[in-house]
Amino acid sequence: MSSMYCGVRTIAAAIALLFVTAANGQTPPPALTVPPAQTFPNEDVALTSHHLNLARTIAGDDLYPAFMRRCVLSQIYSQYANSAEDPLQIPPTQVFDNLYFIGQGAVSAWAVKTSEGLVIIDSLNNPSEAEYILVEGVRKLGFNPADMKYLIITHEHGDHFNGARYLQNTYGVRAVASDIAWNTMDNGSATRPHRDITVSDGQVWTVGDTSFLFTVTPGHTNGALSIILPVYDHGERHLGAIYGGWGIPGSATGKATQLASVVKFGDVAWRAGVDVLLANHQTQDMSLYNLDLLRHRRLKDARGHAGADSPSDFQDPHPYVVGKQTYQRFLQVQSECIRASAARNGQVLPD
Amino acid sequence: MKRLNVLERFAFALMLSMIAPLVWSHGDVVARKGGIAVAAGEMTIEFVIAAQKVTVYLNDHGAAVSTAGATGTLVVGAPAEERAIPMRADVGDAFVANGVTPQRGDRIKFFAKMPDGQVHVAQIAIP
Repeated sequence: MSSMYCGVRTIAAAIALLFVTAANGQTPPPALTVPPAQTFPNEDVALTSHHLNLARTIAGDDLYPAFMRRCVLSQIYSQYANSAEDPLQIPPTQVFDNLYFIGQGAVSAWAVKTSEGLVIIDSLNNPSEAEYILVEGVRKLGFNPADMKYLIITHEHGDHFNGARYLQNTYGVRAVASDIAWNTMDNGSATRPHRDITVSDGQVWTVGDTSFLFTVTPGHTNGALSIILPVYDHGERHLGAIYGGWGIPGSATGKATQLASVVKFGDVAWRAGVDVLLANHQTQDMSLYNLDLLRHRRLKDARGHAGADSPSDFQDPHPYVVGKQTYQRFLQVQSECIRASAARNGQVLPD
Repeated sequence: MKRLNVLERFAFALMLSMIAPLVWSHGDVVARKGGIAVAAGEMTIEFVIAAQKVTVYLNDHGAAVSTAGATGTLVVGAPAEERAIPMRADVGDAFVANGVTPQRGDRIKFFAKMPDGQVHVAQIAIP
């Protein structure tokens, strides 16, 4: 009876509103062209707060941008996070004595100089980018494209492997990936990379004078492959790490898998002594900023960068060298952001 | 703005299908329906434009994303004159707007709100 009364009351109110609107001569404005906000109908707000604030505390001042991007921007304003990865050509740049940035704004690629040629890390979105950005970058940095011997693919998403087949066919580059990644990538198509070299979890793979330590870190994709490699700042040795993939998966299972991988990789990185933060997207290792800071790294005297032969010749630290402790904190921030994302979506992850 | 005749529409559709594989993008951005595919984070959003009909497909790294329970909006026109058109969630992974034929130079925006609160946004300009 009361529901019937409510229904009559609603209809009466709607008719009254119609009359009021008509009397005012108003018509409703056109439909809104601004996208809606992302919402989290199943959010555990207290749990999100806990992990978000834990991440912020761990991040401190130096990792605040990484915290903001992974914990906030990419979770609730994803289109802004995406637009920070719009494609844009970035000048190829020597970052360490043996490491070169040859990627673009949407996705990174790196070249590692070894005594037996170049090892490329990731191959960009398509053959055009592989040729006109990656290979052209190699040329501009003073190498011959024939110097490219190997290509490591960090995970089985197209922005990392779609240029691979072109590099294989055109320059005879041999591609390296995890077994799981190969199972997805190599489907027999003429446009996909064909399996050359499969590496496994914990494997040390050596090319000339350079050894790469691989850790299979599923989560972003099942076959994500993280890389630890030596880099040199004017002769001073450091260890850099490129994590296989940081994008947080949608499912609770995917998040739990990614979380376990981050913990595992944290242990590997700590024991190895990783102190350099590198990534396969510029938004994750702050490459847009670091490349410019590197260019303007201040010397103690006026000799010019070409005259520097030691890190101690500079006033400023190398922008990619964050230190062992800070690299660990970076991983912890990522873990808390994964947990915050799960809490926003009402997902339960193991402790 | 001049309306396209049948021959021009055919040429336009052909041109769209030719440029679709060339669209610069992030991730596994593959046009699977002969349209224009763009990245929206980890999603691929593909626009298929025909006479009087725009269909938008959602795909997550090769897997079709169901549009059941989602709402979609197509925004068409030059920036100062854009209008929002509610889209119908079609069978499977598609949203459909009937009675719409974007013109050359138009900017098309699409946004969808999924039942779980996720929002997907993509934009193309008609070449």
